[in-house]
Amino acid sequence: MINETYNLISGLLMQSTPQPITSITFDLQNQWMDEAFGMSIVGMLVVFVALIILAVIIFNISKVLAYMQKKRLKTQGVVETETKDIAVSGEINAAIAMALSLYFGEIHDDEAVVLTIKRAPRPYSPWSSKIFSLRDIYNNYRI
Amino acid sequence: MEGIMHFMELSGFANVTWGHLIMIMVGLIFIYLAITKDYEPLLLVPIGFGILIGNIPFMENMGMQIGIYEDGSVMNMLYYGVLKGLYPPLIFLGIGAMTDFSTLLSNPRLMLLGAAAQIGIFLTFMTALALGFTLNQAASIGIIGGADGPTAIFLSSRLAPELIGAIAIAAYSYMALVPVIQPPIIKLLTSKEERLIKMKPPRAVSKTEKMIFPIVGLLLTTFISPGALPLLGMLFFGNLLKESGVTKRLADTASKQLIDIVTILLGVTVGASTQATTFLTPQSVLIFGLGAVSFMVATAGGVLFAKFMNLFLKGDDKINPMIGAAGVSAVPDSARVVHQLGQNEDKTNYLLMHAMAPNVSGVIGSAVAAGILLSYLMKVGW
Repeated sequence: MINETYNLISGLLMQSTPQPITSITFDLQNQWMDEAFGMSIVGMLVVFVALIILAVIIFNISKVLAYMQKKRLKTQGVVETETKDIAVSGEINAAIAMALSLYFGEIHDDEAVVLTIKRAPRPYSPWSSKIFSLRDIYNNYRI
Repeated sequence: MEGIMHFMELSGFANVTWGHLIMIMVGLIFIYLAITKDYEPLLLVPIGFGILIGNIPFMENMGMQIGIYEDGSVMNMLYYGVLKGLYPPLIFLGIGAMTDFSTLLSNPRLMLLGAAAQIGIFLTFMTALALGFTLNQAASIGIIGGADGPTAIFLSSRLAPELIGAIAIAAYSYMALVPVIQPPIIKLLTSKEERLIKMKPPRAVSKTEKMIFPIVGLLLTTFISPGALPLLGMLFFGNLLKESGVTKRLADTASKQLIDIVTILLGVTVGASTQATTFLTPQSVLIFGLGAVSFMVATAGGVLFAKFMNLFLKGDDKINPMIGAAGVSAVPDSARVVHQLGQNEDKTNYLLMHAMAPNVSGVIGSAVAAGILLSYLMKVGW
């Protein structure tokens, strides 16, 4: 029944659409359709499996790294203290960010006054030599 | 006098056909959309201008070596990079070097949305086959649903080089039209309450995690689907250049100069490959139609799968289903569209970072799907 319906629909589609480049028989088309159906199912499954495995690995990597860091800190004698998640609203975060930005901005301004005065090196080059400049030639002519 | 007549015969005016004029109009529309509507200008301007270049009428096979399909012409040599699938991996190198996978690493389950959106590829593959295309052609057309231009070009260069022009133009056109195609589908499939869902902010991701990801990602995905090696190899290599922190110069070159150069060459040559005499066929029109369907199905697949995931998630863990639409790999346009839709509903809802996760996993997913199709069809040899 399903095959008959499929044959009918695909037959109608074949009649109402432009002909493909290659002339292919209806049987071959049916064979391809079966192949394509299987390929699509397998393809979709493989995409899912690949990304699920990747997701699981990433999820566990973060845990392993956190565990290793915890262990390292323990061997270094760092005492672990429990912290609670503090619920901070977006407005407060924005205000903190603004304050930090202004603070660091000011620091930069102070630095700029002191540190940015720098003597530019002027190595000799015939291209910038006074001897070869046009003005000198002109002056020499006048003399 | 005979010389003048000969010159006149070779001029564009003597060789122009309606096909050339139609394609020149298409090129102008692309350029117009890019400049005035800001639809993917970095792609549409080179492609649009390429269409103009490719559709200047001339007498073919006169030994002048000017057409893109004439052996030895400059355009033909540049087109070699498209035909042999040289440009797409280089583009992927640049994409890898400029992509931050942090949001994906902070919430790995969003990766499933990138997988779900690939349904567009396989459904269009079946539809194209039912419409009379061969297996190889149908697979190349289906990949348009991945919304990934380089992947579409890469796969069609291997399986159906005769359709590269139409497939590339369709893929890039729909990528540019993301802001037009996706919003109605997203709105149709989601309720207002769902669109208002606020997601938990992503956690901070360590540098080590970011460095491990490209290596693990490469090994795992290419072991499963070796056909995707040229694309995923370059994608993850570019990402390692970025995240390692010791190859800043290489990462900068890959993500700026290199990707810009390749984008120019790819855009112009793909545009020029739409020479009216070879491009304007009923098949091309059909490919455009199938591409649109493919893109819509992919968007719907992502959104519906996000809704499905929400059935198993509670409270803060719920996903805003709109981000499922970003599972198509039009980076970052899809994510931007989702963010904008979220902002239209609630100004305080920032979805961009969340949407980037399925967006970048969509890039990986579509490359894996291309690899599967390539491995299967190359092996079977249809």
